[in-house]
Amino acid sequence: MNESFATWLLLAGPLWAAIGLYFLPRMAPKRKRDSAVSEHDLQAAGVVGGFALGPVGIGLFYLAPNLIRRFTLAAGITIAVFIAAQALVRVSDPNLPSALWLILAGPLWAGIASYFIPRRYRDAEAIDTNALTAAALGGFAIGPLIFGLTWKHTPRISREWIIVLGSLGAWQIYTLFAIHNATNPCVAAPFHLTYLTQQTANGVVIGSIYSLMAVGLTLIYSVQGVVSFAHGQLYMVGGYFSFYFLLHAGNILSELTGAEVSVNPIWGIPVAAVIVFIMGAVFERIFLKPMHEGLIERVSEYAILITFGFGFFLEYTTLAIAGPFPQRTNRFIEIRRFTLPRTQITDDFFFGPIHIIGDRAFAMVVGIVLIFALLYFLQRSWTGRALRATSQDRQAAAVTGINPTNMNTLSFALGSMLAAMSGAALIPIFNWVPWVGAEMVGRSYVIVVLGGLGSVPGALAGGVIVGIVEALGAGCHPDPSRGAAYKEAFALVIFALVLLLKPTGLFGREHN
Amino acid sequence: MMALFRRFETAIDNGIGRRRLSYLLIALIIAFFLWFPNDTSQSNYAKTVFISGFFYAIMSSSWALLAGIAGQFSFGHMAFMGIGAYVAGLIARDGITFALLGINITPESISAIGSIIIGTIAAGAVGLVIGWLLLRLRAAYLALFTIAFSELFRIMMLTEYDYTGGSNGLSLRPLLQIADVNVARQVEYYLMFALLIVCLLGLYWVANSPIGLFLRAMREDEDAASALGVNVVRYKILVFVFTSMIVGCAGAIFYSDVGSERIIPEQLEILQMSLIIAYAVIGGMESLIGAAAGAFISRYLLEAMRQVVITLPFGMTTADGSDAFVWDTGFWRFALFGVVMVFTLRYMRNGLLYPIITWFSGRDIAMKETVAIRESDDEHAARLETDDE
Repeated sequence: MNESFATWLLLAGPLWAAIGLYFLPRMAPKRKRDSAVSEHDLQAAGVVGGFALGPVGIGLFYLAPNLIRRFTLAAGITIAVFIAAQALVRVSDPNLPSALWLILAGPLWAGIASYFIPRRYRDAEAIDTNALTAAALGGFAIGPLIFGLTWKHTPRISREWIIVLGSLGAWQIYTLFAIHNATNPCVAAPFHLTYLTQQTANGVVIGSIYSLMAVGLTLIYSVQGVVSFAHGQLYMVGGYFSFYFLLHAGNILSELTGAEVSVNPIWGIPVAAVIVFIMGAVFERIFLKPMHEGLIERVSEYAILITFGFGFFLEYTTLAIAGPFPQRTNRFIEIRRFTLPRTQITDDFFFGPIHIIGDRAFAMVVGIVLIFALLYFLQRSWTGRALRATSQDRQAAAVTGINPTNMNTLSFALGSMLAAMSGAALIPIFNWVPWVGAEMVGRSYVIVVLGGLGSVPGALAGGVIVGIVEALGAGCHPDPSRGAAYKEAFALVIFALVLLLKPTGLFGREHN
Repeated sequence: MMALFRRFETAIDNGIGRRRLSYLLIALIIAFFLWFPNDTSQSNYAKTVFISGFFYAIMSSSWALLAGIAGQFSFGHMAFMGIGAYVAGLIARDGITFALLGINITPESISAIGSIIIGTIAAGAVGLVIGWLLLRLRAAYLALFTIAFSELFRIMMLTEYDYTGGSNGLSLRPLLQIADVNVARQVEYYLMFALLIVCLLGLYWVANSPIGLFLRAMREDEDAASALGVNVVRYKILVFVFTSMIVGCAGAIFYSDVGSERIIPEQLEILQMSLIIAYAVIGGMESLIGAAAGAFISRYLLEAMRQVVITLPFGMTTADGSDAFVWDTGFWRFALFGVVMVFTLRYMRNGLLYPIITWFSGRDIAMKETVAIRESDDEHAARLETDDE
């Protein structure tokens, strides 16, 4: 096959799809059409038919336009088989940029499906809350088959659909990796299970601290409706408070006892928590309280700017005091790493041993304990219940004798405190510089949007998901040094996808 | 004091009028800026400070259009600036080929201006994608996403050092090639000043056009505006792309050896972005000229405050025997700046320059009248109610 013919073949599908999209709705004779067949039906028929069968498909739908309405699973499978056959021809030819084709196919069908399927749902007046998500995931995972599944009956998309399609999509990515980068440690047999589990474990460990920080952010949002843009800086000063406390406490104790004493960093966590709690409360009282008293115009803008200004102040003050030098405290525990033993399921199917760095494991335990303490506080104590009540309905809460002003202050102080505690828990692990918050806070935003702004379980799940995705992304990137640098990029991809597909997030309230 | 000011005010109102006085003042300011580089007593350093002042004035006045007038909080302004500069630099160095479209740009075939134009377009294109993705949602989402995005862009520029030079930065193609440093500085000064004027005129044109009115309406009440037939999302995206292009262009020009030799990823940090926001807030977010002046003055003050020297009175001496107390402010001046920003937001929402600007535009008279009318209306309504009883 010569090169121009190959290029032609590569373009043929999309080309006929474009022709179908343009001409079919304009040409299909009115008299042959059911009144129910809408513009969107014909457009979709043009794209799908043109893509799979070229001029034959367009002709078919031209002669029998009602067919698209009866689009059944069988038709979907037929079309998918045709497209798969074409794809195979293309991939098998060494002259073609087959990788490009395969990588583009998923997003391409995701785009096509997510344009047409929600419109079909709206035409059919069916429940379309999850139609967009299902269309995009399904288009990515199973290509045009998603048309066959949803077009005729417009079934209600439940959570199971999303989970199944999402898993299929993940499998697709895995297969692509296996085809195009066979030496990658994530897919290279027989170590891939060990490597993958190791990366996932790393993700879960660090993800629990991400969760802790994101819960603080989401707590503030759920009560006040304010996204704190000082959250990263509060995380950063939390670490520094812990650092300076340990430094001075160590010096004082050394002087008293006459021997070299170093204090365990775990004591820095409550100290940082108390100081930042007070800081948060004072800031809230002075700058955020007037907002709820109607003294300030355009509250949402003010909230963004004032918290951002607070973060600005904190960051430069820390720079002035601590200087731009990396700092780190000593370790939590002396154990270098924990090892989970090898798990053998069959001869070929095994994973492990898995190593977890001791300090990270300890930080995870701290994070989980704190999260459970917070959940206990929110669920069981009177104040915690009052907080939740205020987040659900301010007026009703006020009627039952809860002081919303105090709840605002409490939520901001508590949220800030959680950020500071995450900082104090991570300073033994990472090098601490005054701008360390910027990276972390971007990640927290991804987490809260993924989980749904204002949802505590969402933030918990989101933290672990983002942790895993980052660990897998960094671990599986073909170039390891780039993979580590682009850690945040993987989270940002999630951010963009969530905004595109489901801006309310996984657990969000449907009010956007 | 107040009485003196009132007499001065009446004298002005009866004399040349505030509007005309403000035109006179603007002319004087422009004349000062035009004259400044000819002052031989000024060092090149002072000119450099002014050049960067102009650059930051462009950045923060365009941010003021976005945030103050259109109500969109983007933290990605520096990133768009960086996109403009980096794309211009990469195109001028490596060229680009679109085989499918038959476009082939080689480093030899492109001029510095051409690369700047491509950089501007690239910034606009990225702005279009981000705007399309985010401007359908609430304001907080844009802020959240752009923070993450600009951090990602910085890391990308840092990591892909094979292309971008990493932390050493990237040199763009010099826009001006003048051997004599003094002359070069002067030309750069005028170029940047002209760019500032052009940008301000463009921003004012948008703010005062029907689009500007739509934007203000949307900021106040988005639902009401869209109910009245304003295509909310389209105008939001339009202004987002417009400001992205302005900052992309300004960045590409500034780093083409006009204000700075090379663009470094550090310039794209959130801290730098927060400085721009602070300038705009202190100058006045809802007034473009206020934001520009705020940026310029703040920039100048920050430069002047590098070292604070306090001469002690009455022959007092410090511990080491000198008669002046010298304080290297370091990062403290920025911390102080943060305090000023927060308190400005809380107590003078429209910026520290707002009273001056409203006084000159005579808007305070109109405001006083409106308040008076409203009060008399209230009294009138109250009287009607008592009559009913």
